[in-house]
Amino acid sequence: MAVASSGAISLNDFHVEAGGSSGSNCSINDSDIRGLISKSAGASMSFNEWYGASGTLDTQTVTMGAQAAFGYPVFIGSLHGFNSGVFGSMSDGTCNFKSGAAYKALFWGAPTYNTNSPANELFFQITGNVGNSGWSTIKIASTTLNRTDASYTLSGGSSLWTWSGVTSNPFGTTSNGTTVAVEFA
Amino acid sequence: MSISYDIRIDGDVRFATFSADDGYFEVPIGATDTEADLQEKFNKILHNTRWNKAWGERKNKNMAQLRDDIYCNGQRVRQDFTVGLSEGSALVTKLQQAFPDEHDWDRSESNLVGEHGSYRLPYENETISWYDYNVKPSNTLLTKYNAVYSSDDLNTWYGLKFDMTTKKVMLKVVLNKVDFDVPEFPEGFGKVGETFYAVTYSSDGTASDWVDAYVYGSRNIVKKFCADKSLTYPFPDDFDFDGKTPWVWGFVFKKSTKEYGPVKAYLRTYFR
Repeated sequence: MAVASSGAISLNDFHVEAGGSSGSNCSINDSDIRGLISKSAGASMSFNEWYGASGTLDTQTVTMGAQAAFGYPVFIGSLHGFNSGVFGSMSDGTCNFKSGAAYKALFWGAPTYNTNSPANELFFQITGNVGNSGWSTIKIASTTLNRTDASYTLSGGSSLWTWSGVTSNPFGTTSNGTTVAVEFA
Repeated sequence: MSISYDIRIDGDVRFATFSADDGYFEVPIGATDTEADLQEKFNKILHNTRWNKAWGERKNKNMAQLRDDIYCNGQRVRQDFTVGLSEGSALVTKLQQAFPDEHDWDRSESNLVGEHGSYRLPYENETISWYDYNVKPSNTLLTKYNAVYSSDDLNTWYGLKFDMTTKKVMLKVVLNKVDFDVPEFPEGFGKVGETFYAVTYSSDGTASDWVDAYVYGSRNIVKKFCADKSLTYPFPDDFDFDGKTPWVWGFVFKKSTKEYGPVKAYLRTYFR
């Protein structure tokens, strides 16, 4: 949700929009807060420049799909979410904050008989070498995950973020065809 | 072997960065992470990358149209076919004639069937192996063979071995873990926890002392392991892999002594 477009606004509003906790310490020169209005460090800034400012970089809707994780004939578990060309889909499929690069995958591994990978892991993948920067959080339904809590892999022409220990399904559903909102900030 | 790494600062977070396997990796360093914790994280992310690559290669394959060529002691000893292929269907007909309506042979399109001789113990005669996929063996079947396991330990497939001479049938129970000591296996593609096992039961309910361990690993790793342990590599020296790698390796061992038996390799061909 963006900062209000009129009326009284506060530094705390900017901080919350940037992903900070309400009431916690911050300054107007913090990179995430000035980043909302694309200002460099130490630049001159006016409060009215934050009217309508939004920390949201991109919003997508995932239509849930699933696949048994046949890494081998041994059934490892099931994958839920979206994997381009394989299962599920993502609304427009292009990443606004990475120059329109294609979203390749966003799925969660549900455990079955064991917790070996990919069980309890969330995978987010973008085509190309887009670097481990340029966004802070991904919000899937009501679950928010920090980029800096993920391991980053650049391999095979794709950039992949992996969160481990995601024991609850962040999509909140495994029902194929259900839509789930995803927001990047 | 430990992985050396550099540090990248990202706001309040420090990332350990390194390159391996033609990839570049960044792993967040936790406030309480020890060097051992970091190395474990590195291994995990490398494993994930390998898993993703392997899975990516298979995700669009038709699991109902495939053949496994099994190599052992330098020669091909068996071919397993999915039941929907003509070769698989012919073997199912053979089974149905010898063991009418004993099982729902093509219950799953992923079911495999293969004919083989006595290339290893406990097989003594011409045998047809039939593998029922995506299902655990029923309690009735387990009870019949005196095979007692927790459901959690059972993998979601099992095999039945039909001796076409004696008409006796053996049960191969596939297990995620075992509660007895096992010999050393190659550490390669998979983690130790992903090795799985199979115990074969005779029709009289006795378990064979020869157990199968299934291990994931590259050709180089397995070849070196075989050389180090004086085991016979499954493929002949001049074998043309045509770019393929076995999807799994089978290490037969004697449960009572941990003595190694033959090493098997499963080379898979997808037809669609």
